[in-house]
Amino acid sequence: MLMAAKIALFKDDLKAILAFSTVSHLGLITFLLGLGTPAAASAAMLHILAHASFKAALFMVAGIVDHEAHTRDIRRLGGLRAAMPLTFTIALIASLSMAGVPPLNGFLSKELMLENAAQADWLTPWLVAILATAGALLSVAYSLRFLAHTFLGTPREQHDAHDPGPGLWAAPALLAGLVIVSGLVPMATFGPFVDAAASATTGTEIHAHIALWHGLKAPALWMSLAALGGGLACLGLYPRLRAIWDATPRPEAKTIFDAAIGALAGTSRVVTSTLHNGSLSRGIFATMLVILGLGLWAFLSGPYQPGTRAMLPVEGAPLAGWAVLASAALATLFRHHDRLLALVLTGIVGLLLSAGFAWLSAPDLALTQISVEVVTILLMLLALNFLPQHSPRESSPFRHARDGMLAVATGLGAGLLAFALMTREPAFSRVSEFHWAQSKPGAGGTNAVNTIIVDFRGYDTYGEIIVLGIAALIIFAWRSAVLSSKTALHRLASIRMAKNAGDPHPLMLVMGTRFLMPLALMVGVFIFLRGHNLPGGGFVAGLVVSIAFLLQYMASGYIWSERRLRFDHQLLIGTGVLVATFTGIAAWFMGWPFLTSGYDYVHIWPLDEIELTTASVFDLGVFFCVLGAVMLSLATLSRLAQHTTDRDAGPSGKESL
Amino acid sequence: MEIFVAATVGLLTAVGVYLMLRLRSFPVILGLTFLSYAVNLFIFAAGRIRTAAAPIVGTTDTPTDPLPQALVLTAIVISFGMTAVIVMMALGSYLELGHDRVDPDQGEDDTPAPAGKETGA
Repeated sequence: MLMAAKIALFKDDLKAILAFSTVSHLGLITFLLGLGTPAAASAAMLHILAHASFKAALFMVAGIVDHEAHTRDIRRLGGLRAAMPLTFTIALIASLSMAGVPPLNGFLSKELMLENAAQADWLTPWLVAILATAGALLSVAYSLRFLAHTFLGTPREQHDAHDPGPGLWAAPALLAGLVIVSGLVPMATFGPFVDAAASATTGTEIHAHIALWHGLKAPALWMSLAALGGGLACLGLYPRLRAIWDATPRPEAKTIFDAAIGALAGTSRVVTSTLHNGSLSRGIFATMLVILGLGLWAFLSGPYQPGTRAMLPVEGAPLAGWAVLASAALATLFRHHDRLLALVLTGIVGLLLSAGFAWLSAPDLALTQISVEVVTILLMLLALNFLPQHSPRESSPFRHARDGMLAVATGLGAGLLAFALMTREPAFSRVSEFHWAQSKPGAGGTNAVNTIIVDFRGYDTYGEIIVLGIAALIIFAWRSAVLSSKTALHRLASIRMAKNAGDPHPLMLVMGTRFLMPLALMVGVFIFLRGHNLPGGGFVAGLVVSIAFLLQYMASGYIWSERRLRFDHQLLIGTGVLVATFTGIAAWFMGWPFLTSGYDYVHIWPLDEIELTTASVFDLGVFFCVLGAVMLSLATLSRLAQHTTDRDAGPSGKESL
Repeated sequence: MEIFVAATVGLLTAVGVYLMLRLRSFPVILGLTFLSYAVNLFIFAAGRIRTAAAPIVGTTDTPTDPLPQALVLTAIVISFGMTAVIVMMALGSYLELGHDRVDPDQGEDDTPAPAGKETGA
């Protein structure tokens, strides 16, 4: 409030004066609201109205002056009173109101402001009052300067200015009228508005009492008088004050802002270029370190008591499985330079993990994990065909030790956190109690995991198959990019497919997988259909069917299989997403929200009673999406294989099968 | 058995983090696979572990928590999708650059670049 008022006093552009005075008045209103008393709130509301009326009029006056005199520079104006009497009258009323001269409306709100400031007690009882008076004083000074330097005195330059037509002066004149009327009878004009706004602001019923005269004892009167006198003195001493102002250096907001932003940007550049210099391992290291630090901080800043939940008894068979899993994981760690071996060991870990899921009452997870494991390992095996078979040993001992320590620390943290979690009862009742209770009556399926996926949290699953579809499309786009790059094609052509086996296509494997194909497809359909009631469902079924196809690629070669596979993978993914979408939209026609499912039982002779659910159709979309995504990645590798040397046309080179 | 499940989470995390900090793309991918095993097992274990209590209506009255299972199931499939993407990206960068280092700071081609001028572009 004070600062903007001071700046307004030393601006030369009429509009700049008014703009800074607006900033000052906004400061005043905020100050009043900040006082927090009902009286201050109603003063603030009154000032909003008063300020709107006189400031709008003044801006229009500035516009008129600019229009007539062709300049808004107050140093070139002056003495316009004679040439523009009407505009002068309007400016006189409005700027005296801004200065807080009675009986205009600016006086009312300024009085209330000073009254409230006089009652405020901050640090000392009189500090706020002095500051408020100083603000009022500056306000008087710039108001009078606006008026006097524009309209009074002698003309500093020759302008053939004259009053404009009523189109230009009517609006400010109306506002000037309002300034006078609302100043004379405030309760009848602004009273209801102020009451309503102040009541809404404070949340209590307020009836403001606005009056011109509060008596001689009111401190506001004397503060007002001091402000008026001081303001007039400022105007009189203006050239001298101006010289002091121009001579003193002052902070420029823009410079401060630029410096602050520059410092911030510089710091972030340094941080980014240190942590994120393109080195993946450095980025991962920093991320892990931060996660570890945050976890440690969270642990150390709270109390800790050991958990009390009863634990499962240790059993022999699971323990043996655990030992194998742990050895395989450790072996991967130490033998990862041999990539094929590491991949096989990873597969062992994944398979034992799925056995663990089965043991811990998660048959759906076990099915999914085992089929994903097969697909992932096969895909990576196929990809390994194109990559070096060994990783060179190139890390320094320091690096090994550093990475090892971080790995052990994160592993310990994650393990202890999991242990702490498992040895405690949940803090809140489980959401899934609802899912369990509603699985059969609400979603029509007995497999609670599947009903959660396709029904209760169907929207989530819908998003996930879209993500999967996008991942597959990224692979598709990547394939186009690689196959159009000359370098990549050259390098592909120089790759010789590893020929470790004597016969790349053993007859038993080729024939066996072909017989297995229809069987595997049937298993896929079976798993899909039972999914709603027993472990299974669209995700697993999609993976099982993909494995059936993958086997053909493994046994008979990329090219042979590719020629016989006549469907478009992108189309499959698109179909999946659309099927899921339309299942969701169909619910709208029943007047239900998106993805609400329904179900019914039908009898088709000679089959048993069959349950039909819309959730199954949704699951079909999931199935298509998963199948399409897996097949697309596979097809990508097979496209690449077609560009290598030793193109492998399939079993015995015959194309007749 | 809780202690062994927790130890598995810890071990898989440690192996995953260590492999992710290696300098070649293939171990990094394996590391990511291990880390997703660990995360999936962790989320699953957050539902508390029970044996012989598969959440299938009619087979038990006190089932294990089905919600983490549903979350992990989709997570497994999504992590497959992501693994497939990074496998392809690793393959692409190898074919394009002639090496499979994940850090840009050092290194020439491992394999002699075939005729062609865009090498390393």
